[in-house]
Amino acid sequence: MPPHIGTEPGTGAGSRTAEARAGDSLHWLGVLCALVGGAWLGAAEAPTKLVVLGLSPYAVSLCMVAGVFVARWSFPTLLKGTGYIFRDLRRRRHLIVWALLAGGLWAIANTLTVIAIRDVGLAIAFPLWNANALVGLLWGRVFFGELKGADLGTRLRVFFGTLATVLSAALLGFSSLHHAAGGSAHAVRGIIAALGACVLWGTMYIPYRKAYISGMNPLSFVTVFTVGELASVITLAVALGGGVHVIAAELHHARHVLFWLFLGGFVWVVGDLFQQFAAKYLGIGRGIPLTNTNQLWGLAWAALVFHELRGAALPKMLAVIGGSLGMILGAILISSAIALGREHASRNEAVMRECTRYDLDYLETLSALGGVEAEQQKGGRRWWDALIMLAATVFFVAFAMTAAPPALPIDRFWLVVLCAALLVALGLGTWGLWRKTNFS
Amino acid sequence: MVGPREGMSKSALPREIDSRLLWAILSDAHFLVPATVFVAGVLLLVALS
Repeated sequence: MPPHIGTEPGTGAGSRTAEARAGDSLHWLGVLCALVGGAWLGAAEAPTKLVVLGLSPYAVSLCMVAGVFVARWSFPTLLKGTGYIFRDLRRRRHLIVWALLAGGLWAIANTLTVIAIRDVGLAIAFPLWNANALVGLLWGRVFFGELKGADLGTRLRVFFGTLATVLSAALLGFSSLHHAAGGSAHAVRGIIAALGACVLWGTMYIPYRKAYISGMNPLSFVTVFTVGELASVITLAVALGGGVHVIAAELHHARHVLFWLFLGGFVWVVGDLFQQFAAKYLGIGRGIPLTNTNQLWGLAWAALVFHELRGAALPKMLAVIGGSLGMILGAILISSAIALGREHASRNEAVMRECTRYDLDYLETLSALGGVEAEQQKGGRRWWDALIMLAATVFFVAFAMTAAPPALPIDRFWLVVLCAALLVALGLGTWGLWRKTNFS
Repeated sequence: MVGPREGMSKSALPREIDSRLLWAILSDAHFLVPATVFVAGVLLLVALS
């Protein structure tokens, strides 16, 4: 007899209340992860601003992804150990295909944005590709039953909250511009590229959610995701960036600023890890738009540390205020849309589909989705875990020693304040994940 | 769906499971949609570059 797919697995009223409370607790953990992810993703742009050298976008992307690759192997190793990660991958080996595919989707979308910015400018391109949260919302509903069975109020809060964050991000994007770019002869090409990036990034969330409703740990997923990402970025850099020799010469010429790009990639990974946990505990319909609050943090870095808004005209300041308020409103709307009984039942149906199709244990998968680790998955660390951590540290220290000090004027007071805020956010997020799920 | 079937010999098991797993993946709408979008993205990128 198959396990039942009820609203909650409990039998009595008291048990249902306890389960509902546990669900609420995971919802707020997901909200915390999304907000911490937003803060770190927003900060990731800061180190790249220090690079004033004329590197090609392919080289910039390649350097950042190299930092991403190192960080994505060191964090899972630090938190759980490679033994745990490989056991998780072996138990759900079919998801390796999805993780690689997601990495490829990310790389293609990222390169399309390069073309879009070049042809129509950031002001037009950014709002187009930033609508990927709406595409994610659609796929979440169609494939994973997100919001299915939710009451009207919850559905409206998620939809209008997502819309508010998308529009506010566009407003904040406008306010970050130094000059209006675009108007080139290839405007149609740029718009098509931006729309393509929007669909690709929005579709990338299908593998995310697929992995998590199958009970995979986000740390295992990103370890494989980054292989697909790095392979695709290298292929694109070589194929479209002028060949191996051109890219190698560019990187050699820019060796003194490479550290800042690696650092950008490293900071981005911290944010992305929290985004992955948000996608696990909130779903993509809620988690992704909530993480898009990164625009607010990006603006804070630009305005406070780099003084990019100094002497800004009134319309620009109004865009900043309007965008910030809209973003906060959107975040509040989505955060308050807690999934209740019937929506949980729809999610459980999606879990059952995966278990039937790929021969997974339903109750164990449901527990994993609730942040409870399977006994078989627990295990000690291996000697090579220390080696991986050592190699990652040497990689960063070596590049840090060759880094040239930034040529850009920086407000040191706000730099310290924002770094402290990041560390506090990291501490809260890490503590929440460790206490409730032990990073599962 | 991808587990071993009754009466299957030990040597045929891994290959059988692999082919059934492969088919389960290839016929999964969760795979077909992102894979199609990925191929379309590559073609779009080549066309626009």
